[in-house]
Amino acid sequence: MAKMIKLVSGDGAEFEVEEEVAFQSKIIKDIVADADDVIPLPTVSSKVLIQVIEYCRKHAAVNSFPLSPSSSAAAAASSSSSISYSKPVSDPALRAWDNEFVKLNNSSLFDIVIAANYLDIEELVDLVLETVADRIKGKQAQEIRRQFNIENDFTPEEEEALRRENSWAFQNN
Amino acid sequence: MIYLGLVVNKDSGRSLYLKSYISSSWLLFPRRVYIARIETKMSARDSQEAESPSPVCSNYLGSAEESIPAGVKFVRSTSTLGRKRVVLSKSADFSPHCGSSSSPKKLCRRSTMERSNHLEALPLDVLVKILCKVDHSDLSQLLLLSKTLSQATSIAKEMHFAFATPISNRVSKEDADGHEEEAPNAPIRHRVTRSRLSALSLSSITAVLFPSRVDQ
Repeated sequence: MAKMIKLVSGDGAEFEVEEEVAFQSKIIKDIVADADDVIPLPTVSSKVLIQVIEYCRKHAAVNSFPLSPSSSAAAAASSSSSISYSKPVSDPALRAWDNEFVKLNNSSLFDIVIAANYLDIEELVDLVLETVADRIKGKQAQEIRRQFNIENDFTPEEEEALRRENSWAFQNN
Repeated sequence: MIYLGLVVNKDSGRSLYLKSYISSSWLLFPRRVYIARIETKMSARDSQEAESPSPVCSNYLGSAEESIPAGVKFVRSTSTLGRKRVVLSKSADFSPHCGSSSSPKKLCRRSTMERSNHLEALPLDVLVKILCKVDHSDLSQLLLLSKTLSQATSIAKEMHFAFATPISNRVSKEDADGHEEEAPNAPIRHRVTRSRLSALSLSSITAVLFPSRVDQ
């Protein structure tokens, strides 16, 4: 008998989820420890909450099974990046699911970034931040501006000053 | 706790306070469940027929603990979350405006205040976390994008890139071209030195320290 937690989105819709699914969010885990099982989330819209719950459901099912030796070896082998702080998701099927999950436009992705950050769901935060970073990597400034609608608010003088101050960044280019 | 105090001390006006609580909680959480629960407790307390076998016992304090709807407790616990929510609500408020717009290229409502679902509208700590995941070579591009991103990039540099080794992507690319693999300013080697020792002569002084597991 799984204990159910009720999440109420910003627009008043209610979602009942199993405890282990909801507890992937550290914030929800803390609230439930103190208070009732109904948790209003006024800053999260229904659309985003549905997606977040879907992610948590998928990952709760995986986390309930202990890591087998082969999958932990795969995890060690795949973590080649020294920059990444996150634990890589070991199951390739789950990783494929994650990649499908984040095939969203920028604004939807940012919604999830904010919600996951607020709810403090470590794996989801890492996943979406990594996805946004991938959209930035390897691009020239103009491309990044176009993709994310960023206005250049530097005057030419300011830009020149920045280049001089930060010569460390421009050495290899 | 304040709620408990009101209920316990003002015995005669107990129903009054409970009712006023109900009306305020109705505003916060328009759900009948809470009211039904309070009514059940009240009727049990008044020794009328109990509508459901609630766990309320004679110890009103103890029962009130579990029966307090999320409203009161949640208000208290959000005091710890309060700061977090205030910061995020600034940027989260913008998201409903953009709503269902799919393309990030829509330039509607692009004043500096309302950059809905915009990279720069993200809280600074989130932005820095994102930038920590890009490569060293991207930093130069990011610095010149805009003031917000430039600031975030500087922070990311101080917090992270100053301590991380740049990852070279060149090994995977252009393997056919010999030039790319070598260091750009390396001295030219006219004569490649060879080892004077041969494996055969070494066998008398070498020993296997770690037997290979492949054989097992």
